[in-house]
Amino acid sequence: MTRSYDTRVPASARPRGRMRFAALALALGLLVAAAPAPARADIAVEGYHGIVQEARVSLGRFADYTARWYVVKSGDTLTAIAANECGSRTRVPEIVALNPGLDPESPRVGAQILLPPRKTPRGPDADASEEGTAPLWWDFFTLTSPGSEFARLRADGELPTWRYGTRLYAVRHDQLASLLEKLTEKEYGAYAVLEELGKTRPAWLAMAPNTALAHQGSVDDADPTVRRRTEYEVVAVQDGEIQLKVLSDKAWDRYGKEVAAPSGGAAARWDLILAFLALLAAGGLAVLAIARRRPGSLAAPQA
Amino acid sequence: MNGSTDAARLPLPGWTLAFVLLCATVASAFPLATYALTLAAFGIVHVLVELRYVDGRFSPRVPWRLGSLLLAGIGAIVLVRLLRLAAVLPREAAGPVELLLVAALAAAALPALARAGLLRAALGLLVVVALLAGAWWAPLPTLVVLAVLHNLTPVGFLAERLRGRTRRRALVGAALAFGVLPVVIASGLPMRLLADLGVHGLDGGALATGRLEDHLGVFVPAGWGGGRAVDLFAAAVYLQCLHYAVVIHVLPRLAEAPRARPRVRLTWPAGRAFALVLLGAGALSLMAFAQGFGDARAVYGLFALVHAWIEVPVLLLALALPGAP
Repeated sequence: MTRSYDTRVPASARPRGRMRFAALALALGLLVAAAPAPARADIAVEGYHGIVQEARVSLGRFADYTARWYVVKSGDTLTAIAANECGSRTRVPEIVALNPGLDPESPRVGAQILLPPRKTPRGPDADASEEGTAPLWWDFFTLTSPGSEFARLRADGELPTWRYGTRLYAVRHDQLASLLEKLTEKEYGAYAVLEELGKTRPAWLAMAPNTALAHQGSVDDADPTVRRRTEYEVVAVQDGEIQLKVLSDKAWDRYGKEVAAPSGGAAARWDLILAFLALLAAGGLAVLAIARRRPGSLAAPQA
Repeated sequence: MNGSTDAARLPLPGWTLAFVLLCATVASAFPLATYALTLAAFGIVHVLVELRYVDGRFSPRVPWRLGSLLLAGIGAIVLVRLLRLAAVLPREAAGPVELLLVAALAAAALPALARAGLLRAALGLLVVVALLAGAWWAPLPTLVVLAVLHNLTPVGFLAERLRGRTRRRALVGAALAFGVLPVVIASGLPMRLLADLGVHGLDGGALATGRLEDHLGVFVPAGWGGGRAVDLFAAAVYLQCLHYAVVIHVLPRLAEAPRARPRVRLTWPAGRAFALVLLGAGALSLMAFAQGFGDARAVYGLFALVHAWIEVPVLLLALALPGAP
């Protein structure tokens, strides 16, 4: 036999004061949570950091799309190297263009030469007439490829995870200064970079040594409105990995004010924890206030 | 409560169809703005309503000891999130630990499922094993997939609550709305069609959310989807809209009056007081999200996890401890 209880209280018997108190407590808690958060303690330093970090990043299936070093062996000709290493003997001019001073007729045995990528994927604005130039913007470099393998790459050490929102660009090192100068003149954003990419296209070489990278994305999951940009120099490309040095590491808050990028792992967010606890306390007070109106409703049943 | 009464409590098919199509259109055309605005305005509201429904509907069936165990597990998960916010627990560790605790919550339902039959026990075991495998092999993608799957829980609630012809009709409608339409949206056709018509935007609308790419990871695991990631995100946003709508509008209509003395039951404001609480919570949530979207979402997540994870064992227990219609 099921025992039933009617726990409802007639409307006339409800103490409105406690209900108001409960609502007020809840509202106060939510107000605390909505109040301006204090400045984050981990953001304190500004400016250029210099070369501070190194990392190795695996290129995965994109290794074929990177330029790489090759040591000339006895009996090698540029035609043979182009055919065997780059997929087509017609790519000799690309190798020559990449290696000023290289004798195309008889490359010195033991010389280290730079080879263009094995594959040359077409970017959205690829121009088929521009033979002999490395592709400038590839899907995995640019903003339209969330979910690409490149976005999943993680740098070792304290570098940020490259994930959704990551924009990774390659630019020749000797052009980095002028490009970044123009970047700072414009609104911080990807489109300015892409415009510049389009103009400087023939001079580009992706992911080769002496190439610089600019990476921008949000600082962490907790606040996607804080932007971060890190500039790297590619030190070496070897065995499907690129070795990077960090040239600079900057971050901007959502108002455009420059703040320092976090130097280590995730920072403690005591403000969020306090907001949660305040809300929890407010909710608890509200429940208790209602429980006093309905005595026994929180208790365990008697056997 | 008979089937005809339930049918009368469900929204009219015409209105439902219009609303579903509106959700699909808005989510396809403005995925980030729809995600952000609905989360800000209705996120905490739906958490409170859903918790109240789950509490009222299921807690009378759950033994006091098991209920306490589940609440302790939820408390442990909240603690894990807090430790992550305090930077004590690294993100890489927090995900697996959270999933292990969810697996433990699901495992708590196994004895009851075993008593109810071999098939149900096997289903429960499958869920536990899947959670453990996710925690071991791919914790972050598993959490993202579970976040999407959580949007389907109203279908489970309707299946559990309704009976007879009303149930069949509701489930057919749910299959179309929660199953077929998301696939259509994920195909990208609606988005491209709307973009051709000039109805398209990938920004966050009125809220300062940042860029769409920074939010795709909420519903699409990193590395998944490729060029389809935005379409998958739009489909998940549509599901979120439906989830909120069913939880806020439909489930309270199906909630029953308390007939049995509750066991592990919280107290909730009734009627107009609860509506006022929801209104206030929604308004203040909107303000908080407008002020700092990422921070507000982090705090909201702490509350949302309670209702999301408690439903894993609750829905499993519903299979073992069926309730009255």
